[in-house]
Formats: sequence, structure tokens, C-alpha cells
Amino acid sequence: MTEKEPGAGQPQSGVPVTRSVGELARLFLKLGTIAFGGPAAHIAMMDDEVVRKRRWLTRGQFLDLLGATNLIPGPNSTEMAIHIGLLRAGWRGLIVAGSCFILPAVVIVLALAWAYVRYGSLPEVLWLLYGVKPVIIAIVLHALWGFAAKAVKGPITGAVGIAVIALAFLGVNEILLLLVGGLGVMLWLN
Amino acid sequence: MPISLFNLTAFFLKVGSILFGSGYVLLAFLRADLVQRWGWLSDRQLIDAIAVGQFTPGPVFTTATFIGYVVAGLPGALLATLGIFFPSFVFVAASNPLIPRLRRSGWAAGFLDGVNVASLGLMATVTWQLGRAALVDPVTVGLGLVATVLVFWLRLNSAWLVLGGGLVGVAVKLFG
Repeated sequence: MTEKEPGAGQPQSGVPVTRSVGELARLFLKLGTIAFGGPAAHIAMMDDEVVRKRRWLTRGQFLDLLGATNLIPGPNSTEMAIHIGLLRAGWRGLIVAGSCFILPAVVIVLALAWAYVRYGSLPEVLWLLYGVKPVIIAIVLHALWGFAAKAVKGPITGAVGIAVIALAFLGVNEILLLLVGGLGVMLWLN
Repeated sequence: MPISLFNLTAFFLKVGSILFGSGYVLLAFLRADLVQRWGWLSDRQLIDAIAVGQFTPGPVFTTATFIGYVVAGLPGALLATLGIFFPSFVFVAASNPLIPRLRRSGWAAGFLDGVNVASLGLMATVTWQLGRAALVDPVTVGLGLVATVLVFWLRLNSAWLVLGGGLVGVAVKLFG
């Protein structure tokens, strides 16, 4: 079964670009504001919003984008936002989605930096995240569950997944694991 | 190397162009140049900058915004931010059209499948470590369980969960 693939640079649906861009701005400003917990959490929330809720992408397409961002330098979750923006509304979407995801954090960080320079140290605010972190775990688990259902296509991919987890805990370099995992599946299946 | 807006921007363009992964890699990278080679920051300032990037929502690379401000005020903050994020836009624009082609080609599709499942594995590993740091007492474990039920069964939106968890946590810390 072939999945309909959105062409890069073209809006995915008949929705006019300006409406798509507005949607992207709202979504990624929101995500940029609530996405605590690091890249895994950001990606889990993006999956929830873009794949589950809005169905802009299939889970398979989302996973392919995720794999691709792991292979290029730079922050993965921001790059996911940029990919989604590009697919949804062309180059305008690319710029808007990425910028809107980054913007809330920049504003907050600027405020903290100003206070830091003025008062000489960071405010004692880490405890604010005490209740947020367990919630993030639940959100990420939910996304992992969905991802695993799609990414584990058979015994080979399953074995690679488990091997990567084991080796990552042993401290093997991440990029190495990604490349070897990719090559492993590629060679085994061909 | 003297502090200048040009050097600052160039440095963060470099970081944004070559840094894979996140977290400790970023710390090591920034420390080598900013603290050890050029003395633009102290170790303390760098650690605080990393903490700010981690504590705030959104990308951890906003550490660059903090560093830019400390080193060169508001213009430094803005240029450092632009510098570290700009390469990502270029990489995504360049790689995006290739992805459907990879998916369609027999060999490359296998490679992509492998990379995807490996990414998942890494994500699972990070989640485990996050879990160990986050689930430290009955309150956090309880919050985690409740959140899991709400997410899996009721499909409650992330924003409400984060807000709710945050408020419960703050209440416990203040009154518990």
C-alpha cells in the first residue's frame, strides 16, 4: 500500500498557504511553550499533535522524518518542527514553524539571562519542574508505544532496537549506533 | 580570541553545523572553546547556561541565547541564537526532498528502517534515564501513574497534563 506523500514545498491539502502558516504558528508557539523535558518529550508532543490529532502526517512519515533528523547535525526536535512546517506550507512554513518553536524558549531564556547578569546567579526555580517531569515520562511512553508499533516491522528491526538500547546503556556512541543499525537492517533485508 | 559579535556568531554557526546529538556533547563542545581556549565564560557560567537550556521548554540549544547575552548583551543573544539554529533550517531544506526517495528505493528504505528503530532505541534509553531522575518519591510515582492513565486512556492533551503536573508539584513543594 503506498502512502500519499506530501511533496516538499507544496501545501499538503487544498488549504491555502496563509491559513496553513497561521495554524503552524499557533501550534508551534504552543509546543514551544509547553515542551519541557528535552527532545524526546518535544517529539512525543509533536507526534500527538501532528499525527494523532491533526493527521497531517502518517506515523510512518513522521518516523522517517525523525530518522532523517538524526542523520543531520543540529537539534532534532527543532528540525522536526522545520520539516513539518516545510511539508505543510512550503518555505514560509519552514521558517514559521521552526521560529515559532524556538521563540518562547528564547524569550524565557533572555529574561533569565537578564536576571543572571543583574543579580549574579540563577533563581532557585528548578523545583518548579518537580511535578512536570513525571508527566513528561507518561507523554513520552505514549509516543514510544505508537512509534514502536510502526518502526518494529519484524524480527530484524526488533532485534536492532533491543541491541541499540543495550549498547546505548553501555555507552556506545549514538551516531555509531544509528549508522550501524541502519546498515544492519539494510544488509540483512537485501 | 577577542570577544566580538562576529566571532560569537561564527562560533555558534559552527556549533549548529556540526553538532550531532545533544546534552553532554554540547557541554563538552562549548567548554573546550568558550571556557578553556578563549576564556569568554567561566565554568560556572557555562554550567548555568546549560541548566537554563535544559530547564526551559523548547530546544536546549537556547543555551546559546543565554551565553550570547552574558558575553555580549542583547545583540549577542540574538546573533548567537540565529547562529546556532540557522544551519538546521538549511539542513532540513536540503534533506527533506530526499526522504521520500529513500523510502522508495529498496536498499535505502532498509537503511531508513534501521535508523528509525535505532532512533527509537535511543529515545527509550533517554526515557529510562529521565524516569530514574523524575520518579523519586511516592508523589512523583503517583503523578506518573495518573498521567499515564490520562494519556493512554483518555487521550488528554499534553498542555493540560504539563500544567496539571506542574501545579500539583508546586503545591506539594509549598505545602507538603
